[in-house]
This record gives sequence, structure tokens and C-alpha cells, in this order.
Amino acid sequence: MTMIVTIVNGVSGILAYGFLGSSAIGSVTSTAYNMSLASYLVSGVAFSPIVTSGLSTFSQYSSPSEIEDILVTPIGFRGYILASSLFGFLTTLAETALFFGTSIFLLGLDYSYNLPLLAFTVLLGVVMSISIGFLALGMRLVYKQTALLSWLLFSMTGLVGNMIVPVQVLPEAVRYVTYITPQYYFFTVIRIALGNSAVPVTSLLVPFALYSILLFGASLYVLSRGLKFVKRNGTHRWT
Amino acid sequence: MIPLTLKNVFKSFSIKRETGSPRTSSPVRTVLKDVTLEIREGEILCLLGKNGSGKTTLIKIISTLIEPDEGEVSVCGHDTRREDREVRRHLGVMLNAGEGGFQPRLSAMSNLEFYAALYQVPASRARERARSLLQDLGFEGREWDQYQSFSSGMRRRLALVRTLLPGNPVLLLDEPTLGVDPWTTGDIHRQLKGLGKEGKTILCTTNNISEAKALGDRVLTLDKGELNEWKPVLAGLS
Repeated sequence: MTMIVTIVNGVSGILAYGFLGSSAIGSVTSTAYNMSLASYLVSGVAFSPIVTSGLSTFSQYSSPSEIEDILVTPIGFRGYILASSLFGFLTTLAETALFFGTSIFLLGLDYSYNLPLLAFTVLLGVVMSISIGFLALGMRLVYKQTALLSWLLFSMTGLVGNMIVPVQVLPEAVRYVTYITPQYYFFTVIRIALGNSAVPVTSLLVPFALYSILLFGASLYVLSRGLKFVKRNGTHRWT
Repeated sequence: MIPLTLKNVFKSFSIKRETGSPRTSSPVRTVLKDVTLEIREGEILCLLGKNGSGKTTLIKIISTLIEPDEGEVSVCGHDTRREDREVRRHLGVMLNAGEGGFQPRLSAMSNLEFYAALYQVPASRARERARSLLQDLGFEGREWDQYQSFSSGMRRRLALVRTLLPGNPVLLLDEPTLGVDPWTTGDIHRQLKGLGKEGKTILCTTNNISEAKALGDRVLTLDKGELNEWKPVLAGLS
């Protein structure tokens, strides 16, 4: 799965940059986000672990023995995995800051910083990431795998999530797909917070906040359905 | 009050088959049939049965992991369906796999302290009790070693220490000595008998007849979902 995702992301990047040329994309990033191509790419790559950390951190709790040994304790399943994953999330944020800071230093990049907006977007990103993690756990409890969700998440992030390919260069039909991915809102608002562009932020921030809240609610529902399924049928094993 | 009671418990599972396989038997397997059981305070009950006889399912039903299709289960007066969290507060559960929930990079002691916090055991008491249990079950000098450095037998022993740590009144142990060396098995038996004398109610599953005889105040068998008194002569197992 990781290999397929890597190939899809690599191919998508090559296609976009090969067909359009880096200078054309650079012009788009400059116009849309008031940042150079390098600044655009670094901000995408640096902040991407926040989007995927929920899925990867929570997946360690998806084996039958992990689930069972947590479920027999008096603490709730959600509370347990959130408390246990706190360090993982903090590490992801630290890695993001380190990668971003190092890139700025080594490549001499220049950003403008709207720190309150940046902090709020990262917070929403963490909520989104937790939601995706819960969603994946709930699906795993019932269907025993999350390959499709992982593929969708990673390919959407790389291909149409505005992480490394600006949405403005995508074909119009693909852009409609982009607008339904939470990653698009996350990466775009991050660029606005760092690029000092003239784009009105509320038109993106409000849908992103609503999206995150809805996704969180939906993920709680899916996880609770998954746990009910386990109570009826056992975990991955039938006994 | 009887600490652990089961009344007319039934449980079935639907079986998943490989696509295209011949349909030779029912796709539903009944694992527990009308199981009724009471375990008194301070009693150690050993449940003897072959692999796949339903021992683990019974433990999982009592520990609120799965719900019975029919029947009632209560732990210290709390119903497992309606008061599942309250039930879990009174239970110490060691499941067959028993290695979940440990953080591989944390030491045995830190893992136990984290677990004790889930049961709201005060930190100082948790450490003192963990130290004593670790010493009794062969972890002397290795309390601060990372979990990932332990062998599978040691991990199992640590899972038992974790189960005993909060000092809950009812203990459910699913094959606690599986893969443990004979010397430590003796230590575990002594530990459990001591806990029985202290008034803990213990349900211990095993497929080892000598263990059931050595440990249990009472031995029952579970065969094809039915619970029976153990009759060694009739079973040809004495």
C-alpha cells in the first residue's frame, strides 16, 4: 500500500510538473498564494504529517489483542487511545516545526506569518487527523481492513489535496473532487497564513471548521458502530 | 453477595467461510449453551476445556468484551450489559493473547504505573505493589528494562502482574501459564492461591488437567458449549 501511494504521489507530481513546467506552476503559486514554488512545496511537505498522523498513530491500536486489552479496562476506548497518542501527536507537531524551520534556514525561504491563523489551522488539522484515525479504526473493526481509506487519504493528499500540486493547475473536473477533500482546505489555509495573500480567509476557514466538526462527529459515530459490532461478533477472531 | 454469577447464558457466532467452499455444516456455531454458574468469594474455579471449547468466549462475556445472545451475567451485583464500566472496575482480566496495551519502549514499571492510573490506583501505592508483584513473579532487577526486551514468557508474566495490580475483587485469567516455564508456573499458582485466601474470586481457564487439579478449589469442564462438573474417572483423564 505504501509503495502504491508513493508511486501515485510520485507520478502525479511528475505529470503535473512535467506537463506544465515548474515555471508555470511557480507563476500560479505566486499569484494564488503570494509565495515562490519552493515555499509552496516546503509548506505542503512540512505540514502533511499532521493530516496523516491520526491514521498512522491509531493503527497500532487496531490489532485484536490491543483492542481487547484496552476494552477490559474501566477507561473508554476513545479516551485511552487519545491519551496514549498524545505524545505521538506532539512529536508530529515538533517534526513539522523542525522540518519547516530547517527548510527555511537551508533554502533561505521567506514567509509572512499570521500566527493566530496558522495555530488555529493546525488545531483544525489535528481534529481532522483524529477524525480520520477514528474513522479508519471504526472501519477496521467491522471490515478488518482500511486499505481503501488509506489509499484515498494518501492519494487525495498528494494528488488533489493542494499539498504539492496547486489546485489551480488541475483540470476543472478534478477540482470538484479537490473541493470535497478536507486536505484542500487545510493546505490552502496554511498557505494563506504563510503567504500573506489577498484571498479572503473566512471563505475557506469557515467551511474547513465546519468540515472538521462534521467529520469528527461522523468518525465518533462510525467508531461507536464498530465497537458495537465487536461486542456482538468479537474482534477480528470469531471467539 | 455472590461476586460472579451467570444465568442461562447462550452465545453463537456466524462462521465466515471461504467463497465457494462446500456447505457441509451450519454457518452458525453455538459456543455456549445454557451456561449457569456461581463463583463464591475467595473461590478459585478452574475451567477445563479443549481448544475451541468456548472458555475464552465465556471470559470475554464476563469481561464485557462481547454480549451474550441470551442470559444474564453479573459481577459484584453489576449487570454486564447495563453497567459495563462498573463491572470492569471490579475485574482484573488477563486475556489469552495478553500482550496488548503495553508500550514497547516503556519499562515494565512504567507500563504498570500507566495501567494502575487507568484504575485510579494512587501512584505511590501502585509502585509499591508493582515492585512486590514483579519481585514475586521473577522480574527482580529487570523492573526498569524496556518491555520490548522481554521474552514471550516474561511478557505473559507481566500481563499477569498487570492484571493483579489494581487489586480488584474478581480475577478472570485465560490460560495464565501458557508458555510460562514450570518454575514460574509454581510461583503463579502460589500467588493465585494466596489471593484466593485473601478473598479474591478467581476464574481461571486452562487445558492443562494437572494445573486445574493443583490450582482449583473446584474444577468444571466446558465441552461443546456445555458446562459440567469434572469427572476424571468417567472422562478417563485421572
